Amino acid sequence: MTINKKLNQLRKLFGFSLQEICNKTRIAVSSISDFENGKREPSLSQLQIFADLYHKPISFFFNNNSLEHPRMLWRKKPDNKQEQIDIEAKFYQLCKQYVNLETWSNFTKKNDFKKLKRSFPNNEIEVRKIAKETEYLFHSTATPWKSLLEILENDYYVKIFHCNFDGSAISFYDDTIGPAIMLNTSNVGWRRNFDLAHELFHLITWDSNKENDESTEKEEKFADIFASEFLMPEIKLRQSIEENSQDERKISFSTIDTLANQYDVSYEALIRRINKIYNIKLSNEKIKNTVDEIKKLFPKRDNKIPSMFPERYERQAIDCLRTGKMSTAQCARYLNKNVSELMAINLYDGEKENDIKIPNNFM
Amino acid sequence: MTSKYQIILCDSCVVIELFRLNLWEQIISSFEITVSSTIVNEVTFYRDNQQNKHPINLRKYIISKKINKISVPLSMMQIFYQKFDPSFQDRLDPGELELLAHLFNNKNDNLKICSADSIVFKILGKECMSEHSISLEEILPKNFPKKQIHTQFTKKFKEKYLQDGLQFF
Repeated sequence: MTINKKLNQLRKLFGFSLQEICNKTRIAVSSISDFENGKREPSLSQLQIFADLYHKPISFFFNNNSLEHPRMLWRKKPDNKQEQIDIEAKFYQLCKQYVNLETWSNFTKKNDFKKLKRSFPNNEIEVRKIAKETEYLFHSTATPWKSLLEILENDYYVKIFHCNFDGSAISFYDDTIGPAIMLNTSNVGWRRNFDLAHELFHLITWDSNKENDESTEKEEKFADIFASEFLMPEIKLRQSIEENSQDERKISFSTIDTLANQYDVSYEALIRRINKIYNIKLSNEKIKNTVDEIKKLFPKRDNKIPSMFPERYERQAIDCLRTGKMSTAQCARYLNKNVSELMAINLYDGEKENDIKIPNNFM
Repeated sequence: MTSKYQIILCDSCVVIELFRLNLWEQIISSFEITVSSTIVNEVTFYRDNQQNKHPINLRKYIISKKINKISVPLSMMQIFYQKFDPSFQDRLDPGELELLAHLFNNKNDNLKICSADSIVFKILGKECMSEHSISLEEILPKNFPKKQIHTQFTKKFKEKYLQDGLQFF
């Protein structure tokens, strides 16, 4: 496909009018039209502006690449279709960049996410069984749910990015990319943790042959049950409640606050889980009122805002730069930084002092 | 220091470093400095040793014709991409690709790429174009204290990676 056709098809895919592109790029409508019709060609710097707008590398325009990306599952899609397409394209580009960094740094995965994969369960009992098996695989002796993100990133190589967008979370599984999740930075940490466990269920039960990108009500319900069971396993939660409660028949607000922090879940998710385990049958209104009361009593919970990029992604980008596998300007682009900012770190001079030289006959 | 008839294709890091060292004006009066069209949008400021931010406006220098801007036509870029090893393509920024495409299409003896990126030197070494590379150190005034420049701008750094490119990528 020629460059002009790619420009035209990308604009249509994103649902932009010529005027909207003009507003976003400051390139005249007549020029954009000429570029798309092949009457005139853009300069490379103009093509870069289009590449940034559509979240594509510049090489996309010179090679035979598909416009499409794998289907993605959303937890609460934005109402605006353009925003959905935009964030999906951005997420896919970040994942492709991550794969490039892994390839360039000869990164080998010691663990395989496929170990976690299961076929889609038939009922809630099977969902709970998958949650228990997954928890077992995570070697959960203490509170692994507190470090779920680290385990998924470091042990199972799930690509997890954070971004501000209208929606909760997105996930997809693809043979070249592997498992990937994007979480919403504007959600609080414990909400993101629940979203992460929810998306983990989708990835574990991912069906590559499925074409529809809409998750069913059943899939969403099962993902919530999985997240709840996985983050707050019944036996451990019962133990924690017993350890923290002075009265066997009551669970104090203080215990709820302590456990919500310990398990890194929201008050509401914890109360709902307790409701289920102890068969208390609190109404939705009662749960809401209880949450409001607890919030008034205890200090605001600490909510750390995560970086857009996974730690390994950042480390690999810097490593690729230091070892001459990518250029400074391209590294800056991958890290969403200005090249001047990256240069201020002065990465090369550290090489002299910090690197340990291993003699040739050592290994 | 080399002379004015040499055309130096500067990448973004070199431009920023020249501003940081307060040598930009001196260098552009000594050499025919050329930048790529994409670099003009990328290089907007530099940080001094105290991390204070200072603006850079390359357009001003292009308009006053103190430096040149190249804009490689897409048809030429297309040919360059077809010849260029695909595994390198995403490792470079469009600004660097544009400089390399320009160099590959104009193998003029006076044309040299001044870079601070090992990957650029490796590519030039691999393509047997070592003579078209130059380090920032080599264009500095003779009396300039060399201790002030960082490793990646030195002649030694350039030669190490040219050699790496010659041998194996």
